This record gives sequence, C-alpha cells and structure tokens, in this order.
Amino acid sequence: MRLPRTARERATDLWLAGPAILAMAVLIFAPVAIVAVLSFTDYQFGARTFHWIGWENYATLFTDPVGRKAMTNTLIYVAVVIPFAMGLALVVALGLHALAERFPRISATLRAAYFLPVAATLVAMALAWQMLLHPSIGLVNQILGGLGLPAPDWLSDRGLVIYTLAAIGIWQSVGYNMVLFLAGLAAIPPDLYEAAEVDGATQGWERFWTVTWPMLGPTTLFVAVITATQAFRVFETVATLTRGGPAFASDTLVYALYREGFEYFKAGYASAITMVFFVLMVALTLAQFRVLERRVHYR
Amino acid sequence: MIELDGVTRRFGATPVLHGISLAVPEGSFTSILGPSGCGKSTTLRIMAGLDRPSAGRVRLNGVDVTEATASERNVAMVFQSYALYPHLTVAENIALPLAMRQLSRLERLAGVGRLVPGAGAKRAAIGARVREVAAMLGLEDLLARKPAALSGGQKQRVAVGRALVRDPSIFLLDEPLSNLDARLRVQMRAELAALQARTGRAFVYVTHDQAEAMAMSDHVLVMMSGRIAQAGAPRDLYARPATREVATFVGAHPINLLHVTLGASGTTALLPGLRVTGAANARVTLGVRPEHLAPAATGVAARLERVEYLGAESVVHVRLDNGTPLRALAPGDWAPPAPGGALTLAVAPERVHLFDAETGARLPAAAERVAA
Repeated sequence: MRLPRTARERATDLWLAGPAILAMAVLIFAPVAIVAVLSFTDYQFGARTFHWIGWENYATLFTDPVGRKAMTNTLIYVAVVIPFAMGLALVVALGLHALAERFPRISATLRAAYFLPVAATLVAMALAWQMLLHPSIGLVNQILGGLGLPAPDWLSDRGLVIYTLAAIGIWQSVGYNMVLFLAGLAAIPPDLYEAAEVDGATQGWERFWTVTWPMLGPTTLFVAVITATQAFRVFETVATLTRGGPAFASDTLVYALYREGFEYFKAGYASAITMVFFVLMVALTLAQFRVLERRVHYR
Repeated sequence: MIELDGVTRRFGATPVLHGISLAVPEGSFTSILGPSGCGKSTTLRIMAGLDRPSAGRVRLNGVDVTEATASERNVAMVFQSYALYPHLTVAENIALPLAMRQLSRLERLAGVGRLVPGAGAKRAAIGARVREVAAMLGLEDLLARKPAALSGGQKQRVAVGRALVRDPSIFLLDEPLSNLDARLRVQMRAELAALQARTGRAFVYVTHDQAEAMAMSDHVLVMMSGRIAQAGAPRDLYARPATREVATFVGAHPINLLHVTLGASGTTALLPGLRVTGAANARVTLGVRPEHLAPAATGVAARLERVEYLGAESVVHVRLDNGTPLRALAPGDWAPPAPGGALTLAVAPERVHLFDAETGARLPAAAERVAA
C-alpha cells in the first residue's frame, strides 16, 4: 500500500531532520533545562536530596560581594578586550594587506607570527606569560627596571591584575581577528577603490572611510560577536595564572562557576551562574545582530 | 582632448600594449572596440590614471599627465560593475565626487560638518546639483534608496550620474552596458549618445560589442592584441576594413572569408565573374559580407544547406561545389528551395574585400566584373 504523497513527503522531512532535532534536544535543550531547574535549588553534587529555594541563588550572585566582583570583573575584561582586540587586529590586517602587494613573503611570515597565539594552547602560553610577568626575574620588569621605570606586580596587584589578564586576552585574539579582517579586505572589489580614486578620495584616510570601513561592515560585526563571546568566556588565564586572586580581584563569571561547581560542589549556585552567563551571551549576540545587522548589509 | 603617445604597458614580462598612439578630440564620442584581452580596458585605465604606462606619454589638453593621479586629471569614469558605494544612498553616491572636492574633511563629517560656517550653503549647492542630474537621468524617485534596492539599469544610471555631476575634462566608460539585458542595452545606447551630445564633452567608450561601437560613436579605434588595428569612422571600418581581423570583427553578420590563389588573369574559379586587377597569381583572402551575397537569377552556383529565418531577413547557409561553406542574406519573404537544392548567389565586385593571405592586410587591388 502506498501512502498519499503529502504523507510520504512528511515522512521524508522527519527522516531527514529528525535525528538532528533529537540530538539537539538530548544534548543541548535538555541540559539547559536541567541547569535552569537546578539553579532554583540548593542541590550539591552527591547529595541525595535538595530543596527548592526560589531565586536565592540569583540573589546571592547579585548581592554577595564575591559574586558581584566576578560580574564586574568580567564586564571590565570584556570592555577592555573587545575594542583593543578588534582595533589592533584591523590595524595589523590593513598593514599586512598593504604589505602583501609589495612584499608577499614578509607579509605571509608576519601573518603566521600573528596567528601563532591562536594556534598555541593558551594554558601552555600562560606559563610563558607567568615567567615574563614575574615581579622580580620576569623579562617585562627587567626591561622596565632597565629603563628606570617602576616594576609593578602584574599578577598580584589587585588593581592591575584584571587588566593584565585582558592584555593577554587581547594578545591571544588579535591573530584570529586579523585573519578574519584579512579575508574581509580581500573580498572588497578593487573597482570600488578605483571609483573612489576617480571621485577624489585619494588620501589613505578618505579611502578608508569611503570604501574600506563600510565594506568591512559584515566582517566587523562577525568579529565583534566572536570577540565578545570569547571575552565573556575568559577562563584559562584566570585558572592558570591567578586562580581568581588576589582576593577575588581577577575572579570572573566562568571561573566562579568552575570554583563553585567543581571545587565546592554547589551545583545549584553554579547553575544559577551558568544561567546568568547564558542569558548575557544570548542578549549580547541578539543585540549585536539587531543593532548592527541592519547597518552593515546596506539594504 | 586626450592623447596617448607610444604607450606601452607590460605586466611583468608580458606586453599588453605595444606602443599605442591615439588622440581623442574634444567633443567626440570615441569607442575602443576589440575582443576580450586585446588591451582596450588597460588603455582606458591608462587614460584615467588608474594604471601607468611602462613607456610612452599621456597628454590631456596638451599637458603631460603621465604621472598624474585620476583625481588630478579630473576624469570621470563609469565602471562595468558600476562600483557604487553600497552604504550610501543614490543621492549620496552621486554627491560624493562633489563632496570630496568641495567640502573640507571637517565639513564632510556627519553632524559636526553642519556647524562649520559656510558648509550649509555648499551642501545646499551640491544637493541642488544632484537633483538636477537625477532629473536628467530620471532618478528623482530613487534618491533615498541604497544600491542594493536598484535594478541593473537603475544602478547603471546612478553610475552615469556620479560621472555627470561634476564637470570632468573627459568621460571614460568601461563596458558600461555589458551587464544589462539586450533591450535595455539598446535603450541606454541611445540615451548615452544623447547625453554625450548634451554635455559636449569627449566620451571614450570601451566595448567588445561592435554594434554598440557602430551605433554610438563618431570615431572607432579597433584594437587587436595590444595594437590599434584601425581607426576611423564606423562607416570606414565597415566599408574598408584595414585587416582581415577587423573585417571579421566589424559587422552584424560574420564575413565570409575565402582563401584562394588567383589565376594569371586575376580570376578564381570559386567566384566566377570576378577579376582582381594587379594581383595576378597572388594568394589572397577574399572577404564578402553575407549582406552583399544574395540569392539572384545569375551568379555563383551553390547548394542550400539550411536557412535561419529572422523575420525581416534570412541567413542562408550554402555550400559551393568545392565544399566551401558560405553565408548569404536574403529578404525575409524570400522563398528558399528545398535543402540540398541549387541556387545562385549574386555578388557585387565593389563589395569584395581583398586581404593578403599571409599578413591579413588589406590589398589596394580591387575586384571588377568580367563576363563569365
């Protein structure tokens, strides 16, 4: 017996999309739902019972000084990393793109060098940073001392440590963003630069504002989203270099989540941090697309 | 007026232009016609200042501008891809060349620029000029749109508007119609020619379409593999092509080329009834355009292969007795014989072109009619 055509088409749809939907439900939606439920409990790993405590976990996160510190630190980190990681990457990409015309070899070598931090394991690189930033024998302070400048405690000064980590974060993401910007630059039709030249935009500055920057719009949006999500997720450098210290001065959301969940086994509280983190990321991504999408595709 | 003097351009070791010399007089509509890869776009880019010659000079109104940039030369250019700025509206696209030239960097800044004394008046003048150009091109209703919301023909008009908005020394157009559909192309052809007449400026128009070049220009330069094969009025190119390649390239229907060795009296068995004086025993190529080869009561005997009916006319494919294929043109109402049937084609001797079989150059000798 043959099924009617519409039924057969529906069966095909289900057969094609079903497995992926099932996998997404089991591997993504269900865990998120479980975490959301857990965030309203005082559940601890290994415990046999738990109690519903309503919004208490969230209240703790937003009122407790430690929880607030993790939030503000994360926001400072993101606020520093996004503009510098994008700005420097754009400058480097523009330089390498211009250099590639005359000296393709040098440009390719430099590109590889800038990309190395992306390819290298950040945990291993953190070790190198720790040595460079050592207060007395680190190369950075040796040089500063040699120049007669004060030698700060990069990783143990409470006011400085989050910016030190931000600098490492910038160092790490410039290479990746640069590659994205280079791809964006290569996709700009040369005709537009020629039209700009005929129209009188001859200076580099005018060419940049007339052609390069507007044409890089979609790339810039993508880089902004990637950089922001990367920055919000900062964890490796915190875990390996400072463990959130000194005195929670470099505590961040994801590190607090790790500490609460995997060291103190407070699954309920860790779930609440996860939910806040999740909502922040979704809100940020949506906002970026809503605000910027319309302005970068020129429709 | 723009002049090129012995302009050579090499990309690496590959020469693309071999010592081009030409002059585009003031007020003329000059086309550079040639197949793709012949160097016509490179020639235009050298005129524009977007590319520099490896050797030779470029003069604009008598001044040597070889080293000058495109904006210093004050040329306007329309690109094949239109090259509109996608983030600007139609009005802003058209206004950009004026804004770049007339407003200072500070005055161009959005917001801040309005506070600079005098900027408002300048902006108003630019806006008025943009509306004037838009009215000329029928773009008034589209001024607030972005290029992504325009059709190909509208983008084309905006690109032309951007060139028209200021008063350039010369207009350079690089295959501006090749991305349009056939009907629109014919319409824009007439509009561009009318615009040129209206501005009175020299237009240099690069195209691979011989119909465009013939229809619009008063002067055509035919380029073949980096050299100017022939320069002249459209009528000259058609009636007296300087080489076999030009003869092949110019004309709506591909010319028939017959490679023959003439007899002692300058005759050939292929086209009886013709004699070429002054070219006895020479190996030549005879060129006969299909439109000069029509079915008639007497003439060259041939067999019909097939007929392409085009309405007003029919392209008749025939084969001579020795197997040479020929194309002829018959009126649309001509009643063809059955395929394979015999027919005779009349050819007017004054319409036969003679080319050297080796070099392809036009021979001075002329064909004349003899009694068969």
